Amino acid sequence: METTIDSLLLGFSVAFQPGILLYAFLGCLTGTMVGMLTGIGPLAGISILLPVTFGLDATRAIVMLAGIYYGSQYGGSTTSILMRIPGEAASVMTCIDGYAMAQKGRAGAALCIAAVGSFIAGTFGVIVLTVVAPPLGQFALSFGPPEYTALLILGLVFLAYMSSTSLIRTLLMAGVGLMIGCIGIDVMTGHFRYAFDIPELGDGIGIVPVAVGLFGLGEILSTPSHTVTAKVTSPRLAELLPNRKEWRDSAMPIARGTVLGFIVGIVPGSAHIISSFLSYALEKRVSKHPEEFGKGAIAGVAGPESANNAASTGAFVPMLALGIPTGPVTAVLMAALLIHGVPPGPTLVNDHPDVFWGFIASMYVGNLMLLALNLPMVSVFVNVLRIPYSYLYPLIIMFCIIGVYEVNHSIVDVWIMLIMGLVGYLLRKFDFDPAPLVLGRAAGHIGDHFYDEAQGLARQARRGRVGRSLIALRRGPDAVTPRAIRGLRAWCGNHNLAEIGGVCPVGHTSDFVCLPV
Amino acid sequence: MRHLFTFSLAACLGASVLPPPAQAQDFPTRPIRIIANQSPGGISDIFIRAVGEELHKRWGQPVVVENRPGGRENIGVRACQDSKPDGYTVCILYSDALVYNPHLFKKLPFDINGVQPMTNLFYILQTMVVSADLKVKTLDELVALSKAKPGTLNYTTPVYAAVAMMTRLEKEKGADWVRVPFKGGGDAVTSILSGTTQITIVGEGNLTSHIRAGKMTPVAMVNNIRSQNFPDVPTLAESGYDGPPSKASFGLFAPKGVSRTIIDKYVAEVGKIINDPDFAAKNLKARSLVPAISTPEAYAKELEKDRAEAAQVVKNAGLEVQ
Amino acid sequence: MTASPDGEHVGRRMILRRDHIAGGAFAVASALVLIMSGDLPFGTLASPGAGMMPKLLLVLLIGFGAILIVRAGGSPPLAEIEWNDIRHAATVIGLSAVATAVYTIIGFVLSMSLLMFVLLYFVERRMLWRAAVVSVGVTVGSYLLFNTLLKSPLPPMPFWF
Repeated sequence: METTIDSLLLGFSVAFQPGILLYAFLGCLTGTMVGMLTGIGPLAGISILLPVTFGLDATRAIVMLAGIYYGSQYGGSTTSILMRIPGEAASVMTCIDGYAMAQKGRAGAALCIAAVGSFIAGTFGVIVLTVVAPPLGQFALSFGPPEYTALLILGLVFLAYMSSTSLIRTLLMAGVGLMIGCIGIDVMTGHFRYAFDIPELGDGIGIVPVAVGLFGLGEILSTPSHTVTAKVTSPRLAELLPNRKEWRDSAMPIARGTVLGFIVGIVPGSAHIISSFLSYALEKRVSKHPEEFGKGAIAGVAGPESANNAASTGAFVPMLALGIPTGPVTAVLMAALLIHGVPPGPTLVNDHPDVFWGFIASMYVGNLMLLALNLPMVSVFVNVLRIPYSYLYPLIIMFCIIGVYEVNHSIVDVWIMLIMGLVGYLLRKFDFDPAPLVLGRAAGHIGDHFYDEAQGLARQARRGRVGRSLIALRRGPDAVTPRAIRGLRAWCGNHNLAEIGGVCPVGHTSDFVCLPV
Repeated sequence: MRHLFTFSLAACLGASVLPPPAQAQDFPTRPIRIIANQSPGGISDIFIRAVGEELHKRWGQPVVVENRPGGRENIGVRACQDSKPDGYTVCILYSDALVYNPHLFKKLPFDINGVQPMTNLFYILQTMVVSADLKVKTLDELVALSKAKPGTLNYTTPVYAAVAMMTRLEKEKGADWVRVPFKGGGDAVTSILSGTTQITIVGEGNLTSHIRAGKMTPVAMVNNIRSQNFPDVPTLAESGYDGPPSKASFGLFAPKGVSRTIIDKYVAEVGKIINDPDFAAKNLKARSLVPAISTPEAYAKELEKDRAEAAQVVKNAGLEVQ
Repeated sequence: MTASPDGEHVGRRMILRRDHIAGGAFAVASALVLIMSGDLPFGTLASPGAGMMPKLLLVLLIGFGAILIVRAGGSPPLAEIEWNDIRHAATVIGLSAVATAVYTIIGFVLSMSLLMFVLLYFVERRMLWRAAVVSVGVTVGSYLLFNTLLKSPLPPMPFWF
């Protein structure tokens, strides 16, 4: 413990050097911007700025790049709350109650709670990271396919709580989401499914066009401008801030979301995107007023936003402790370290304590900076809502198109977004909730994680050797799970994933990531 | 409205009939676009952005990278082929898209001759590692172990040539292992460390720190190029396997029809950048990439040869044609 | 979701209800996709083929759709759904589709400023100069932001860069 404190002090002595502080600030600022602009996620933001850091030393570079990463999680809620555009899969849940709050004139409160929740989650994450990163790294390793199966099933059980519509409607939506996930190549057999010889569909339909279409565009289609009564509000600062009841209602959701998100975030792979879904469902389950969810419950913003941020901090655990990237973003950070002559991995903390601890300490500082940066911006952002709706919605359409196009520079993605917008409009008419659909689409990716073992196990089973599988031996009683895995594996996995990252088809190049092809 | 429309229409037409302003000699006079067929953060994306910074410094024109991932790398090639051949759009493409995809797709969405090779850039050093728990050091020992304990080994790799090799070892030497789908370098490393997979063949950049930490044992270099980081590890050929090695190269391409002067200018300048010791140390060696600058003719010939070998690999590996 | 009070009363007779249509649409669409996926191999339980999960899923979806139809009695009659926003929706989606079709051909700035201008001036009937300034200003601004500052290119105009 003492050594940890000593090391952390060393870290702070590094982090408080004016040069490092400046780059942490630049990173946080860029990250907030990147998070707010649809289309450029943290991954693209970091990749684009990576060459800029070549002139810097390793500590400055990693501090700045990591600032972009966690800073973008702060900014991600802004468009969700103000315009109902989810910049990434993790913000989908924020769209629901955040936007509902904005319509009730509580956008300021929602943005504030999102910032504070993110701050608490981020800081908690760093503290845990400081104290117990190595043992947590081992925990991350023990998270194999059976555990993924469990997580997936948990997510599906939670489905029932996610939506305010009836269970059968929720299941229908989730099923459609899973079906959309089936489009593209089937990794196990190499077959193309429903691709119709369109090369863009070969790697499947991404989450971003689906989510942006269903939520962002769908909202606009069903809101003609004459139905929007102009609220001329000039809120005073006190009204922008959450009131006492709102603070009280979000305290526990923030705490639960933080812990849940961190645990899910440690897991290597793409599970972290369901952290916000899980948190939302959890909050609705434990809430005394579940009927308020979907109509502007602050807990529905506080929980998922905290979970989202805690997960992005948790993702640093396997990277720092073991040298394993949890997703494309941490993989790029590792590549950045390599380029700067610092090999990431289990030996990082001993070989380069100044980089390691300086980086950790800068995350404490960075989270504070982000809070200081984001809270004053709330009063600026709420002014977006004072733009008359007839001017605002053409703008939103443009942002939707940019946001979807920029991910892959693919016009097919924009078409998918338009179709999804139309679908979202019809779903609303017939009282369906699109959130489970997005979760179903996202769960398809988590299904990927048991592909590999499933494949091996299935073949070994065919040779009559299932009992000899190492996994079966190692996990003893869990040996039954392979069967579950095999059943579930066909939950369609395919691979595109600029948005969450991660899976590569055979034949893909391999650096750290599977570059979302 | 009508005025605005007429105006823009006129501007549009007027501009499109103007002669191309740039002459090959004073190229470039406007910003350059480089198409990459990987997402941001991919190997080639990080590399080409670094090259772009250098080109910007040397030529005084900004370079923008446009990522066109998806469709098994085919989309990037198609985007390259469809761009204007004025030299202001060039592309960094993974050679497998041009070498293997013609054998793997019944309907290829691009024309192999629609893009012209400019130069090879680098190879990804593909290393075969096994979990240190297996306590084997060579390919032969590994084959022997798989026979001694059948049904315990599985492997993962994105490299077609490696799949062909592993399949041939199964057939010819009776090795016993099962291939599991590849989901990315990070996952491959995780599953070796956690014991779910025992053998993996991926880019060395994923593995360096884990090999040094003693968690994994390198067995063979699959490109038939010895590694600078681990010079003792034998190549495939030295381990007694005579099949085609992995090529896994990234090259610079242009849409067909770009003038030779401009191509030469690119090849010379990019060659200088890559051969700059400081640049190479940071952007290639540190990431286990092997610089491989060549000429348009040599690279075209190399791709031709690889494409012929690929047919054999696809057959040996039992890959399904779509 | 909630049945309106008079919906309950009229509901005794056979009226076409919202969930009849919704459930029917899902069932029919799933069935169509199921027919389309005829060539995907189903495989066996021990070695599932590429078509197994989609087909099982589609059968489930048909089932869910059927349940929805059976239980449609509680849902409001179809006639109660208001379609007064359909003109707006059709206009917006139609114009967006046109803009998307020409997006990569005439470039981001032209296609998006035209889209915004048409929406502002013709659909929303804003003042001409305001509509023009806003649509051109916003798109040119975004273009410069993305292409120069963020280095993440948007489609250029055919005659410029």
